[in-house]
Amino acid sequence: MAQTRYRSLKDLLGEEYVVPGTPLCSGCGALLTFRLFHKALGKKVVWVNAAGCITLMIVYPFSPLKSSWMYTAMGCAPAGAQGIRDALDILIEKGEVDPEEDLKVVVVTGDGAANDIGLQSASGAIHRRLDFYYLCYDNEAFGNTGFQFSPSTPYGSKTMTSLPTPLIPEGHKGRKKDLFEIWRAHNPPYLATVSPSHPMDMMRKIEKAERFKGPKLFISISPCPPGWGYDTMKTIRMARLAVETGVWPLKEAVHGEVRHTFIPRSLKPLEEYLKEQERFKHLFYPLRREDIIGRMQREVEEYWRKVYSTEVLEEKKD
Amino acid sequence: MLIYARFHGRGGQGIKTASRILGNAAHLEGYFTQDFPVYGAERRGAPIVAFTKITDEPSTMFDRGYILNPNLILIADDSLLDDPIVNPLAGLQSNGTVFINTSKSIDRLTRDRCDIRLVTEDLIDLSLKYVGRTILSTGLGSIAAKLTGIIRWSSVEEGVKEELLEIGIKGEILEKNIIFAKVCFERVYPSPLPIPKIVKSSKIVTISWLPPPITIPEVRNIGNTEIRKTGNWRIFKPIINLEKCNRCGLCVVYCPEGVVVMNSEGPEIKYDNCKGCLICFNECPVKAIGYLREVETS
Repeated sequence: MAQTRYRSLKDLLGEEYVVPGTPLCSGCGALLTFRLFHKALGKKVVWVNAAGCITLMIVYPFSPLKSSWMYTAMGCAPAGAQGIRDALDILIEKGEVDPEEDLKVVVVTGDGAANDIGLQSASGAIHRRLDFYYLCYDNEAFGNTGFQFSPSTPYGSKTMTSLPTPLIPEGHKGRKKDLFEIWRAHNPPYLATVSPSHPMDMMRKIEKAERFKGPKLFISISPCPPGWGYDTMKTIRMARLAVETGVWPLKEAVHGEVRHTFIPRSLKPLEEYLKEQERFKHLFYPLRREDIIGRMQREVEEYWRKVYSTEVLEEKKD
Repeated sequence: MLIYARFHGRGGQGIKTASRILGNAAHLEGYFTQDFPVYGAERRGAPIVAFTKITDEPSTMFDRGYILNPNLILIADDSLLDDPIVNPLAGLQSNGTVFINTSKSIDRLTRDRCDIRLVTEDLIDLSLKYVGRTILSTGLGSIAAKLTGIIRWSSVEEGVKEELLEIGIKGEILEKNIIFAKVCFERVYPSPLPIPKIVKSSKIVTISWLPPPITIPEVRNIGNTEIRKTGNWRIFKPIINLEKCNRCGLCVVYCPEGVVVMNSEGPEIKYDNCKGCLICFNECPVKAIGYLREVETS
């Protein structure tokens, strides 16, 4: 990455394409990711959205966007993107649209649509090598409807449909789907995880993705103040803690080859991340559940042990 | 005896719980009650409506719809008064009571409608003092119960306990909430409420078919949400101290809304749309951003 547009934070202060005044929650992590993403992609973009929190940004007759927007049902955002891409290609070929006016087609969905309801249409689009971007903002539950669990909800999280009880003290018993690996199995040209707490990393990844033709996929952690249960001012802090405790690794896969873009020298204890959130409060109060916290910590450590043994050692050899 | 109470507020203030506390307290007094919110796409800051119906005669409770003609209205956020879509005073009965949570004096209201009784109190101040948070449900529910004039404190206390335990609030925070409710209960006084008119069911309206160009919405004016002044969601107002600021631009990058812009003199917050999440305050590396209660600044 020798020639990058983004050398310092000063390069992120350019024109805004998402204006304020949206009806999204105060302190929304997804909106921050979306705004930075739009900034990196530029103005010539058409967004294809599957029902989710972000859908509420545009409530007739108001729109915060300076670009175009299409709204689809939860299962079919990538199918909508295919239609738009094909229409643009045909119109450009016929000479009815100036190639200068070509638009980038970007799908934006929540974790529910990406991991669950819309998984098959995304799988199909990646398989067909559709030239599009996919941004999944992952708040680890169905946030818009009041925080019910989704396939992206981590083990041990309290949601409205997985309340901790004496029989199920951990709350959510399922495991978070590894969407990164699911998508990587399709071998897309570019795939990355990003976090709004690391904006330079995010912008450089989007910039890098521009070089590839075909599906370019992004998963962003999106802290959700009402759902996760923390004060709105801590949104960035939560995203940063997720990265530094190792629960949200920042990585990219170019043609399937994984590389971590941020490797913490030592992982912060996962507890620091958990104890500031209402959704994990049952692990600390009234009784500290060492077994559940320990299991979550072990899973993170196991993941990083593999990373350290492959990537870090290889770097040292070089 | 029939009480139609309507609660207006914003998502996150505890409006639904307030209506449940009133319903539960009245039920414990031996009345027949109904309480329900309007379920929609609820988000922090979005206008929310909840209803409570209280009667001693079950035959008057057969209608189950929204309350269009309340005799008691409770407004948890004074900025809603200027919102034409919410229109919180719609349908208020003559001689009805309105409670508004505000720190300002609102005389223009009684000037426009001289036939209503207006009660105001600064609930945010009280909740910060007694609970330490800006969640108003217990205070608002307890004020509503007092304004009906038919509910004793013991029932309100029991109602608060039951409702909060149900949503998992216990221990110290529950105790603080009960003190908050008690303080609120003692601050207001009831007056007789008028009897609401029972509206008989209306006819079903059939809408004739219209061609798609008329019925399908189309937005041509892009980037127009700026005219929606989301600044009135704010409880705390971030303030930048330009002398301490080192112009790093982190507040501009980290603001989810994009209301912080970098000028030649330094960063500037567009207060018309700032929702007051205070991420900029928390992330500023040189601590050049502070905050104040919204009322202290005006």
